[in-house]
Amino acid sequence: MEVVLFVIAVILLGAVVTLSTVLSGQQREVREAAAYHQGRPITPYHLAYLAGGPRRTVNTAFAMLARGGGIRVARGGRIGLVAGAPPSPDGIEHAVLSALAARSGTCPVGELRRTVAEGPAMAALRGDLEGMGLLVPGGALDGAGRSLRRLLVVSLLAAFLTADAVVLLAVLDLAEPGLGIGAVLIGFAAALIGLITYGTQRRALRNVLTRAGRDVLDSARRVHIRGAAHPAGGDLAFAVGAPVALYGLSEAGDPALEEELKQSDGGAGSVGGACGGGDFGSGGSGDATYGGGDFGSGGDSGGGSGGDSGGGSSCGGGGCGGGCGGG
Amino acid sequence: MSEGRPETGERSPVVTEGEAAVGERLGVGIGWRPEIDLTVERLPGVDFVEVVAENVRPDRLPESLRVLRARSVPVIPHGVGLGVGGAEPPDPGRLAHLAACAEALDAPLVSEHLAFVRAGGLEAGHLLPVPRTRRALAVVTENVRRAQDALPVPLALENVAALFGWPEDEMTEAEFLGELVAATGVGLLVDVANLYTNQVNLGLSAVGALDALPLSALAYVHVAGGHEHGGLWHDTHTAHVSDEILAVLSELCARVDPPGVLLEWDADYPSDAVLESELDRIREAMARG
Repeated sequence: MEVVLFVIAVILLGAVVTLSTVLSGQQREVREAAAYHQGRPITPYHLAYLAGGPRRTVNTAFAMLARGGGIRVARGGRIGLVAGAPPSPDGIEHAVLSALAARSGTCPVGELRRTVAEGPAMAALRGDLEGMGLLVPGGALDGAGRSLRRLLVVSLLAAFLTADAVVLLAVLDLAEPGLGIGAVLIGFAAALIGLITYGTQRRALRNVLTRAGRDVLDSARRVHIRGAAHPAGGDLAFAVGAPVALYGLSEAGDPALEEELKQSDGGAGSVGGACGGGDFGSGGSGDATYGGGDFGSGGDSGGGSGGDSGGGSSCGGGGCGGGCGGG
Repeated sequence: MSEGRPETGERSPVVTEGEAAVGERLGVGIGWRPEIDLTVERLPGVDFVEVVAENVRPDRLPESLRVLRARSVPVIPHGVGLGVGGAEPPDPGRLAHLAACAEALDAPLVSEHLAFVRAGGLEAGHLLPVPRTRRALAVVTENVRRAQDALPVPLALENVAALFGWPEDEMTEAEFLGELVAATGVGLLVDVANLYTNQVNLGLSAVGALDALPLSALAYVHVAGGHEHGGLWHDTHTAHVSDEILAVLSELCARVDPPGVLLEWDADYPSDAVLESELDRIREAMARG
């Protein structure tokens, strides 16, 4: 009995080691196979997607448009279209403005964020990044995902075997207890190695940046230092777009704006997907994992001032029109 | 626009008969709306704001208004639904709400419209002109006195823009307001955009109205933009203030030093820079007066 247990434990350990090696190889191969097509300009929205996925990208658009006079953020997290603002040539900004226009010019920030994050402009941006070799194409890591699931199964089997061997050692009077103890130790090691590897590789699989994508992000972070002061009236993409893209809304240079967009977030789960450079550990940004740094506590302030003030009146609140006058 | 200007060229002092707070220096302000709350908080040179009273709960003031009050920015509750121009006495509940707003905001005064908005249980949904007859004046005078008794602060009434006048009118709006002010001591909120609207739509001279209005009771002034469409002026509060309306403001300022002038903008809000520029244009128009 103890011989069988020992042999199975050794086999499981071998399987765990093999699968872990294969998994690392698959990930490395996919990330390094993508060729970076240099020469195309990197926009703040490219950086935002690489650093924080769709959520960071939309927040970057909010910050750029708000600071540039395209949208207005009110207390309670309501975003409004600024009348007379010129249309934007950028796809993401255009999506924000179009979504607002489709909602009579005003919308809660959470709803607007979801709409744009799940919209065609965001898909186009992702496709653009894949085409540039900065993001792993969709489906390219499917093989690694299968290996990961196999690793989990083998690790759980090793854990089960270890528990079995412990029980047998305690209950039965084994002829060769040394082999039984060996089976326990080897099984335990297989389970431990397998589960640790599963955890780390699972996180890594959520990261869809290629090595080139990581390099672009790291390079941008060297140019744009977190917390660096920017002169007023400078280039908005440099002063606002890139810092927010790389580090989140705290870099928007407008604490009130940041506060309203934070308070009104609908929660981390409201925008799905997986992205971000967190697993590459690119220099202590701390918020590179998808959806991480922009929202801190993720609280929701609720209705805000709109609830207090209603939607206008027959005069003076928006519903006056020509015949009302008087206001 | 210079016809009818006072020959002395001197500005009238603001007299406050029995309404000491009407005449408090307010400066230049803007209508507070929830959509532009942060903008209003940040705009430079906003000396006071006005909030539509029906849109706030006194026991749960919007944070933005609390912020403004903490900075000692006066906030004036501006009612749109009291209907002091109606045949029925003003609703005690509405008066109590207006009073509670004034107290919660520590307002120097409250304002309403010289208009009727309901009759026989039907809501008009508009600020309708009062029939300017002696009989109506007696009723409105009584309504205003009731309102004043219920309010903890002075009341100011605003002239309205109208698309029609009543055939039995015996007085001009200015004469009617003059009699009302004399009888009650109520303050005056002059909307120069409404004067301009009546000039375009009804042929009533805005400058002539300024000459006849009891400007000594002036509490503050409204300014707003609108659109001309089909020969009619639509007082939409959604556009920049026209030069013609600013000229009426200058005419008013040539006659009296207004305690306050407030920009109303109720939808299609432009950028902060545009709103700031509009306030600058108002200041320039005041300086020209």
